[in-house]
Amino acid sequence: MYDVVVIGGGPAGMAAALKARELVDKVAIVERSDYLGGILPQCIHNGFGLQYLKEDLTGPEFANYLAEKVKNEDIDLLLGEHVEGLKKAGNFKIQLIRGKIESKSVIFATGAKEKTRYMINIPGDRPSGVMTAGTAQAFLDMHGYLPGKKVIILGSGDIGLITARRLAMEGAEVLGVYEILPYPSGLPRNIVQCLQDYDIPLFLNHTILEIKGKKRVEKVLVGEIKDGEIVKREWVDCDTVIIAAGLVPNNKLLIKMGAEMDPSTGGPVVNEYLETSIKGAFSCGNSLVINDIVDYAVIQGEIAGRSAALYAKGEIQNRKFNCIKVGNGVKFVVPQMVSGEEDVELIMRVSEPMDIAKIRVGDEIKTLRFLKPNSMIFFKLKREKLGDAKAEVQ
Amino acid sequence: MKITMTCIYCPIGCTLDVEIKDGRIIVKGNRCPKGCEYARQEVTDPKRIFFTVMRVDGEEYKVAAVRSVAPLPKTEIKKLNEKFAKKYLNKNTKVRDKIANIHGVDIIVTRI
Repeated sequence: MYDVVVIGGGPAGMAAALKARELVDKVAIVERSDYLGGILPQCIHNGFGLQYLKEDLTGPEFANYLAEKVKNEDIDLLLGEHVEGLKKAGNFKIQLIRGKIESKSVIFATGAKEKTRYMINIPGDRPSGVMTAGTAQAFLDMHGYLPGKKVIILGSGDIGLITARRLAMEGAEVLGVYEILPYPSGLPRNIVQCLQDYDIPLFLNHTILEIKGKKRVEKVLVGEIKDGEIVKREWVDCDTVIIAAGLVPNNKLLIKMGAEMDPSTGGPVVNEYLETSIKGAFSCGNSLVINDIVDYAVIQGEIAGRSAALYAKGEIQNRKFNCIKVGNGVKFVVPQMVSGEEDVELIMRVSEPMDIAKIRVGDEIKTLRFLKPNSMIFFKLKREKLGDAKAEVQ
Repeated sequence: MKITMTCIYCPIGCTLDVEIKDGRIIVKGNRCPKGCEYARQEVTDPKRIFFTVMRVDGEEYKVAAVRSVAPLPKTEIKKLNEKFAKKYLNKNTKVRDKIANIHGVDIIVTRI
């Protein structure tokens, strides 16, 4: 019998297991691939760990930092494993490929999936050469193959920008990054070091309308969008289309178990212990909410790890939770429920860019500058300031 | 001369107003000392961390990842990429091993 089983061996899962292990004895990580680290090993650029480790590392190094700690602890590593079934009957009964395990609590650190061409509905032919940014990155940086020579990138999030730079670095011609929104979704520093450094144009208010090609991509129809209307169309010759249209939290197991989900985050509804509506089941990392940077996923992992261990020890008892109401200008708030018994740090996103805004949660008001939907806001709230538990932009 | 730039040191990405006056570089808009450092470097000799992948002896479908431990001149990054694309790493190489030195900056293995 385990105290805590963590599903997913990425950064959030490793951080969760490490934190849990400080408080309880029997901890395991179930990971489907045969190594720890999740997606980090293929992110070979620097910029990881500045907040959490105060060091500028690459993805593989950040993953290594946690993986080495995990390996030095008495934590069972069930690699190359897969959760086939999960039931809660008092404890959690987990069916794996190679057998059954049982645990007092479970942490879901199952990460996210990339949106595919079919999830964003790009019509046209189905030739080779259309792939997600993560696939392109795996081709190039895990296996050493350049996935295309004349490339168009759809989506200006950090993943799209970073993939654009890597392809340009290795000699591909990157014709442009196309973004349907009027502003780029990635971090300002990535606009500079990924696009400007490599003279890659950014087309705002643009999207791909159609893909053409018999065997390989031959051309795409790009359109300029204004007020929801296509105002200009143009065919662009290329051999590769990279879809970098965002991530979707991966919560198949939790949904199957009937956990309450938040449509605005794609993750489960959680309280400040990062506990889902299923008692003893916790969530962290990108399966909870799509994070801007890995450091945040790790911090959530630590919270979930601590909470799950306390639950296993019977220390988190039934508390009453209030729902945080999402008001004007706010896209989501995580956690969605708070007990009011502890100070809490809320994660929020605004729904539109704002130069300056007063954000109110309960009785606490903060004036924040240069808010963008793509950068998370962290809002510390003292328990006595919970007030009406409403979050809004004033 | 006045230049506006974005600091690339951390995810905040401060907008920096840089003024070059009588050979002095005045930086405004930085929220931390790193921003000032970045702006001075950027107007005199822009540098970036160099990273790439390298083939490994005897491996067909796997590459190793490497990076420079300190930034290198931006104008040389492309050339370095081409140079490292032709090199092979010994398969006994380990993470953190130094495999080259460019202008006094070590290139280390980050994944193998």
